[in-house]
Amino acid sequence: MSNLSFSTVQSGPLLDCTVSLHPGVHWLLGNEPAAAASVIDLASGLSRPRRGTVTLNDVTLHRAASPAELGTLPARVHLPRVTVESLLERVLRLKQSDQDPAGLLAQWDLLEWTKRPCQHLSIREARVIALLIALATPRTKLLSLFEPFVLGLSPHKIEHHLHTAAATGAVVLIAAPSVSPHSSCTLNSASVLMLKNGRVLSASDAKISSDKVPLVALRIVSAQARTLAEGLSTDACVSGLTIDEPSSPHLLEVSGPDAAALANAVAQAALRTNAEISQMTLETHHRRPEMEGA
Amino acid sequence: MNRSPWISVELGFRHTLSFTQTRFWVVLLGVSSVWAILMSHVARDASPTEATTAALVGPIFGIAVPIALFIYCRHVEQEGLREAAITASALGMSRPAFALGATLALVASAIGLSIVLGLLPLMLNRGVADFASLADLGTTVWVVSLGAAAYVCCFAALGASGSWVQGFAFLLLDWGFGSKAGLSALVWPRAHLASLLGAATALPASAGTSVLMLWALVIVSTALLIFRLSR
Repeated sequence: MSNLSFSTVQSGPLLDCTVSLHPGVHWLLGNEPAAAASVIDLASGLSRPRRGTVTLNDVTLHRAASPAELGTLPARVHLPRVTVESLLERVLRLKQSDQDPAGLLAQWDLLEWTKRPCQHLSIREARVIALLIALATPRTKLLSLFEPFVLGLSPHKIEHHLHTAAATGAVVLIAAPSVSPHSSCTLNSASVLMLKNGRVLSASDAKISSDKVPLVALRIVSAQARTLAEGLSTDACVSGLTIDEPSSPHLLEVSGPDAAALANAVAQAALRTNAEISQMTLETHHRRPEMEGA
Repeated sequence: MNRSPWISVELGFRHTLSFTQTRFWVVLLGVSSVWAILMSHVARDASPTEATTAALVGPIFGIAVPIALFIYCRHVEQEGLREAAITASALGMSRPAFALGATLALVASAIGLSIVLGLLPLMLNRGVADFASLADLGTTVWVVSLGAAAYVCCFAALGASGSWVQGFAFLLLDWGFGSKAGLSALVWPRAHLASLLGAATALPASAGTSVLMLWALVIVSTALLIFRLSR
């Protein structure tokens, strides 16, 4: 059984917090992507708090477990410049996993990625590979994942892996600044932490409300909607991206709390990706759970 | 449990060595080689041995190699060496071992570049037939390899902070102090490399001391690079 706890004082966008997590699935909600990313980095040992400690089973995380026993999907992923197969083969060997690269990719219907060089993967695709590796970690003690449900993989398969890990005694921490509709069913069987003003609050401190709170949404029509979505996928002010590819592949819906920041992010992503935008409209019909107070 | 760091070393090595398969590397090697050929031709008025030494010490290992290796390190770091090390750690690898692999690849590619640039004046000024003097060839190869390793490790370690300023300052100070006589030249690779390549320098150190100083620069800067990439 694994117990994760961390106590920090001002680590980037994250302020003072003391959190203890027991084995099981824990959701970290709240519309603060940068702070959520910091929590994942701290929890997985990728960064150290300026002061305070991060412990797993009462031992400082850096000494508690080999990195190979942790499954991590950070907010930013920059894979080594080798082929996907080569990377998976080595990492799975390091983690002593029984799976082979082709089997793992086939399990997620991504077999055609085998020979692709990692440096040619988009940001979203690189995060997909990191998620597959995290979920394939055998005997994991800690799974800390940033936004695993927005990558386009089967949410049911991801959920299955998360609950299997939790059932074997792992702490599963999922940071989801943008709560996907699918996650609502998971929330019923998991504990919930909330981020507010850079602080992590437990569910007992924060009341989760189902009140309808408007979010700004931009509906964008573009021939390169998918490219544009990939360019926006890690932007901190974007909390939701939707493309209904079978029926309307040129329609992208981008949501977030700040209209001006959202429009700026779209404009910059369009410049970066050379995507032409033929139409953009503003809507405010989205709803999300929101913390009422602490 | 298999916690072998060699997988991390190998991935760090392959990640960094992949930059030698890019158009950037071909252009860097091409421009440096053209410069080396031109400078070897300019120095041809002197005797073959003097011309070779003059070309190696001045324009090639005094100017082209340090600049090329500074640009190379900057390129590798701008393309996300630090981010790749962090991601490698998130995937379960050892970050220091990944950094060590990256350093080995930087050294290997720098040695490759310096050997090409070092042999060009030998071939052009003394001719392929004169390659019978294998001792000269061997000496040139190991000296330029050690010098290139010292330069690339220093630039990579100083650039690992994320800024180009420290590496550029090292380049300027190496030019400024490394070509002077006296104790101020002792810590700069340029002075020791020139001494080992046969230039008439007033460096207050023997050849053995120069070799030791270059090795010390390699070891200290490699340790600094691994430390910085592991934080």
